[in-house]
Amino acid sequence: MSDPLLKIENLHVAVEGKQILRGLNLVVRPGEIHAIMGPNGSGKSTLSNALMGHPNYQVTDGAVTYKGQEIQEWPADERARQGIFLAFQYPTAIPGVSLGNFLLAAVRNVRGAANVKPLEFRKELMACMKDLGIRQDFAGRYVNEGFSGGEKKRVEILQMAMLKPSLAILDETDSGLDIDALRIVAEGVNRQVTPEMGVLVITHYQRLLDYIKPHFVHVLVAGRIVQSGGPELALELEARGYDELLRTHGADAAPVVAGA
Amino acid sequence: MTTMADDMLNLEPASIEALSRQMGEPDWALEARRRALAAFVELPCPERTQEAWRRTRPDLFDPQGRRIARVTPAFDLLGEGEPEPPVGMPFEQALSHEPGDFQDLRQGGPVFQEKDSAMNAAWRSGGAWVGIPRDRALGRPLRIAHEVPAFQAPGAFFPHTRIVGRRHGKATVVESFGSAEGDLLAAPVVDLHLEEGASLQYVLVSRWGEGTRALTRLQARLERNSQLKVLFLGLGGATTKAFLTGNLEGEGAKSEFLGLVFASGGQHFDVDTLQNHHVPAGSSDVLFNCALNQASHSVFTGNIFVAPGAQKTDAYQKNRNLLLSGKAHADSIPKLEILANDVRCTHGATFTTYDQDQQFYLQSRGLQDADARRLIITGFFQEVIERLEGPSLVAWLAGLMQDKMEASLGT
Repeated sequence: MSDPLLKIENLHVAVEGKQILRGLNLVVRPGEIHAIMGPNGSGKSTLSNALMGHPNYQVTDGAVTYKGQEIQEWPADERARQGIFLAFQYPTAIPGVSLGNFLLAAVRNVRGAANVKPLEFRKELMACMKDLGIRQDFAGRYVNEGFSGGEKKRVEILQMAMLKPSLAILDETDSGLDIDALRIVAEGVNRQVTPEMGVLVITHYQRLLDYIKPHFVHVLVAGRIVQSGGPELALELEARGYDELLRTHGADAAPVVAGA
Repeated sequence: MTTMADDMLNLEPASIEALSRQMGEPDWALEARRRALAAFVELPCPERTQEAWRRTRPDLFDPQGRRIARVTPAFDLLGEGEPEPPVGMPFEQALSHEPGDFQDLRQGGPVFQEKDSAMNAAWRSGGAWVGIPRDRALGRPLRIAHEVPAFQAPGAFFPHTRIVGRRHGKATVVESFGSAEGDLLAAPVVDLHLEEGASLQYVLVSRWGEGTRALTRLQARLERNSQLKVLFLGLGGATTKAFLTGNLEGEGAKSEFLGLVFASGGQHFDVDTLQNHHVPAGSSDVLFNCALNQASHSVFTGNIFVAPGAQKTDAYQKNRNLLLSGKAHADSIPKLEILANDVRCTHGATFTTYDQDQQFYLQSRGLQDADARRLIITGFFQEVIERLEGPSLVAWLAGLMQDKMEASLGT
């Protein structure tokens, strides 16, 4: 078996003093697609933000290892340069900064300025935009400003295509998408997946997993993974909902003794 | 070319007579100076209790005891392409060459309301004239540079620029003001007159040296269906007070006043805009973005006046402030006086520091902390700059902002 791309051990994360992740373990190897499902408030977005290095998310215990290195001390930009990518649930608008210029700056930082030639960059960008059904004039529009929900999500996947990460984290990429947009976005992701790459699909609903087929499905409840399985687990969850799991593993359930 | 006067500025008529002679002006121009001098002596000094002077000390702009710097401006064209016919010249030359555009001065000059306007008219020591030909669109932006090189401090510089857009003429004019180090009082006056259907983009780049205190007055007259876009770019100088006024005098006139201030160190910028809607169906749009670093201070006062009967007026104004340091301070004061009942008038102001979400988003795409900040600031300016037409102009302005940003943020 190949070395893990991402190894999360006993991860505890607090946001503004409130403990959200409480001992999360996960291993992602190259070529694997993992889905993390869970009800609202289970810590899905906390996990993605913590993995990307958001300064407001404090790791209070545990460790995250990426390509064999502990990344705790790495700021977000270092993680990006090392190949970690987060497709945001709520992408931020940057007024006055065109998507084209923003992506050029991003690609230069990630690939190294010397490796990026403006003309080739332009060609590559236009091709990627075409693949994702994004109109060319979006390159001149300000990043995420006035974009519809679906446009924002497509543009997230466009950024992923341009940055070519080793580890992609898709945070609720399906939310706000109609079925056609969902298909386009999912196809976009599938085209990008390589045997060297790991993908973490974080979602509330099963429907995205009809398009992006996971090898593993994990259920996150109250900051821990409480169940893992194959793709069939997602269908099961869709059928029976999260209620039962919440009763057994939710924050109000009897505490689990550490190490038990 | 700069020439310093031998004597310190005083209230004797001899000083203005010498100036007028040195600048080779017609007799009526000297007469206008005499009347301006009398008005300057007569008019009271502004008091700090007056609303316009509450946040900037008026006594900073006292000209007495200073040596006047005479500066001849340089003219060139921005961008690439065919040369344009010459449409501009130094103000004092135009007095003889284009007397038709100076009827007001030939009739003794205006009745002054403000002491500083009279000051500029009495001791005028530079400036430019531009006449945009009728029914012509000039392709390349005309740039006029007024640079006061090394001078004997304390100095004073009083340029007057007049731009006349004749019927259905169209042009872009960029005027840049700068000075060497040292204590300088600079008080430029700009008057813009757009005849029916004329269209002008006018950019005023205020990049005075560190020791300059600047008092800028811009007045625009818009006739029927004329269109004016003004950009005030506040970059340099120690203390700047500016009054920017658009008078919509003909129906269907459209004025857009844009502002960008990047203040750093201990710089102080205090800008008043006034959109005067005298007639119906005019529209005005004001967007003023101020970024403040270190212990700098900015004041934006946005006045909108709608006269009785100026129905179907559409007036909009917005002021955005980006505070880059905990010690920086921005004031935003909207003042609306609306005496007509069928109008649309909106205004708004925002104050923000670095947005943490934007910062994280950019960092998650590989941009380092400092680069992310630069991009956020650049975007803040770009939003305003991109309202102007012409790629060469936009690129030049973006470059100016970039230079100031690098100087302010350091490496």
